[in-house]
Amino acid sequence: MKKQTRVLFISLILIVLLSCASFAATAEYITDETGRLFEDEIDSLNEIAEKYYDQYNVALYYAYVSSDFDDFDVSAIVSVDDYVLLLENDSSWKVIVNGSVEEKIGYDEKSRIWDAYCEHDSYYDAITAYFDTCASILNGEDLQKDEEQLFPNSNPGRLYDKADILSESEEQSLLEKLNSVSELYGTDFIVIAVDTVGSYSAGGYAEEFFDRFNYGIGESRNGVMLMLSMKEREYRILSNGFIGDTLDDDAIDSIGDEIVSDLSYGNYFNAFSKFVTRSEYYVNGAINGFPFNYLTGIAISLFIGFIASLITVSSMKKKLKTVNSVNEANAYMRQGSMSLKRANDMFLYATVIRSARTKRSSSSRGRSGGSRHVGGGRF
Amino acid sequence: MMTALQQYKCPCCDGAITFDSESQKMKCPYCGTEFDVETLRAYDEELKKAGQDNISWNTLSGSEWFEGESEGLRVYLCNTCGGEIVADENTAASSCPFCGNPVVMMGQFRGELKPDYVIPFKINKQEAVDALKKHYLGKKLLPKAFKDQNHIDEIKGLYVPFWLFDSDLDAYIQYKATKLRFWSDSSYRYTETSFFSVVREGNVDFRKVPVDGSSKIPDALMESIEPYNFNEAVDFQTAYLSGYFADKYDIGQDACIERANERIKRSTEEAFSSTVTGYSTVNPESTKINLLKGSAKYALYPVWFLNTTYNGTQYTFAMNGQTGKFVGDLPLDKGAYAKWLLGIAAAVAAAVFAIQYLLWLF
Repeated sequence: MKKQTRVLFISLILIVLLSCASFAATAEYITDETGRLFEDEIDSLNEIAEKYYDQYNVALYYAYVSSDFDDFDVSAIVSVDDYVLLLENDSSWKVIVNGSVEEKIGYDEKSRIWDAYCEHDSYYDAITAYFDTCASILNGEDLQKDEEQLFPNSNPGRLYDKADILSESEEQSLLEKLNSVSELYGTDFIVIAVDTVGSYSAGGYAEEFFDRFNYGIGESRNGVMLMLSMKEREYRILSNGFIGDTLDDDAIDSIGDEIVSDLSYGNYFNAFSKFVTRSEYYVNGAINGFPFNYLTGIAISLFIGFIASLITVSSMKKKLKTVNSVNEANAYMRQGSMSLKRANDMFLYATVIRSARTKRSSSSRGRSGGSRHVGGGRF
Repeated sequence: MMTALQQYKCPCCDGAITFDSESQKMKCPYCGTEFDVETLRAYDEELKKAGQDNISWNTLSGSEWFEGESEGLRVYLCNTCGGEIVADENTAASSCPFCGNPVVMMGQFRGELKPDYVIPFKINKQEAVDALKKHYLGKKLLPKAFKDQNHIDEIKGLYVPFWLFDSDLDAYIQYKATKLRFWSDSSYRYTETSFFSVVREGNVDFRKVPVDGSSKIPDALMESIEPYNFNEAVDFQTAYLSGYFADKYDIGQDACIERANERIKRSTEEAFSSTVTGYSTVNPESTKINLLKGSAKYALYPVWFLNTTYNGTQYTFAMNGQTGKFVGDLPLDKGAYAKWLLGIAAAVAAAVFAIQYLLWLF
């Protein structure tokens, strides 16, 4: 009897030890040297990676390192042969693939992974998107297959309402407007609304659409495009050519702020009209210079004038009052009488407050003869 | 085993702080701040040192009049405001310097204390009148009529009673100071606030801090014409009163000490604050002043009082009879105020608009 309990006890300990060992053996897919993620986020990401590993037999690693990539020892975090590793530090990024996945993930797929990663504001969402994109590539959902459904066969003109969110008459009136401003400024104004961007990132799809159908007028290919993707509920505004001088990331953000609520409420026609009017203002600014804004000019002048006047007149008024209590006795301190006997500076405690810097989903690239800006968000 | 129960308060939130065995530190269960045990003990010792001020004055001041010394003095009593002024028998008072009413009663001076010092008048009547005219200059919001109709109702040279306080003191001041440090990486901005307990201990002496001993003269008016240069003070002689009036103190020195202490304390804090450097913010937390030697003296300081009436309101000006410093609040011309306000606003707005337009053109 006594022997039996002992055996039971020892085997219990063994089970506990073994389960601990197997728990410890669970691979760490996430390396976060600079504390960008919370503990629970890391746990959840590890679970997702574990799930994909079971499914595809490929390990998806993510590492944010504080050092140079050359100083980073990949073998320290990698425990299998077939893996993908997204390596990032403060200044650059790198996608490393190894083993059988090398065939599937080439140069284009790597930039697709990076584009998907960049689309998101938080690191957690970005890493999830990286995992999902890898999974869809490994799944064989390559872009070639998508493209037949994602893009029209030929240039669809300046309005492409694949998602069918505008009525006949709205389409007609919007297209007239797009054509007239496009000719007026020698800049393509384009609105496209699609059901989905497939495995593209929203920004990547907008760029692909713009380039594939060769939009843009003139040497620098001036064009501004609003892209809506209904399934992902993402919108992107893209500006190309020298109009990007004024229609830059900030301008795109401000146009986005103005149309996003209309988009959310389904007032698509309103949102598109506002987009045309607001971007026309910036395009005109790039071509002819901005018109002088009298209203703002007068408001700023009056504001500054009134503040300056109030300060001056208050100081004039203050001169009338010369009777004031004197609350110190500095004039009566005996010269040189002050002596310091003891000075003690003692550190008590410190508090650190950290606030997140906003990570914006916009990208800009310098090109010959102009620049390209893409920005937007969800609606 | 002997154990002494020692209760510390958190310097951050005042909560009762306990020892955290895990971190081997004192940890506040309320705000979560951690401290070294040694730091907290030292901080507590400093706190115990800070306490109540110990300010007691040796208030032996003034002296008795010699026999016959005050015989030549007369006291005038104002029927309207109750003001009592002193003058020698040759100086005739035609009106009360406080309220302007004719003085009606005159009696033999009955002295309380004899002043220790007097600063004689250095500025004469004409200089005081000229100073008033100068006082109006450069004040664009003063009603023009006030300047034009300017007539002085009354001008009186008055010796004002002051209590002068001397003190040598020991100061113990505890400040709470903070240092800020900022940095950021690619995803966060960090702000670190370090808190310090800073202690300064030392001596400082004050000499002849004056407090007005007359209830009829506003303290703020007298403080505004300070400072007086005590080096020119002389031992009191009744002869100095000739041609001038003198007010008798009606607030005792004990009642005036508080005002002197306030001013001395503020100056001490400021003086020692200047030795606390290298911090982002410095605030005095507790100040303990220990008076080593405090004494008070009774003195008469010279002041010219000028009264003028405008639209039924009386305006009083005071001039330091030693240094010539001239003060007195003046009325505001509301029409001129509005004109200047709108005029300057319009001019600046036009200039700003022009600059904006030019910037747009080029």
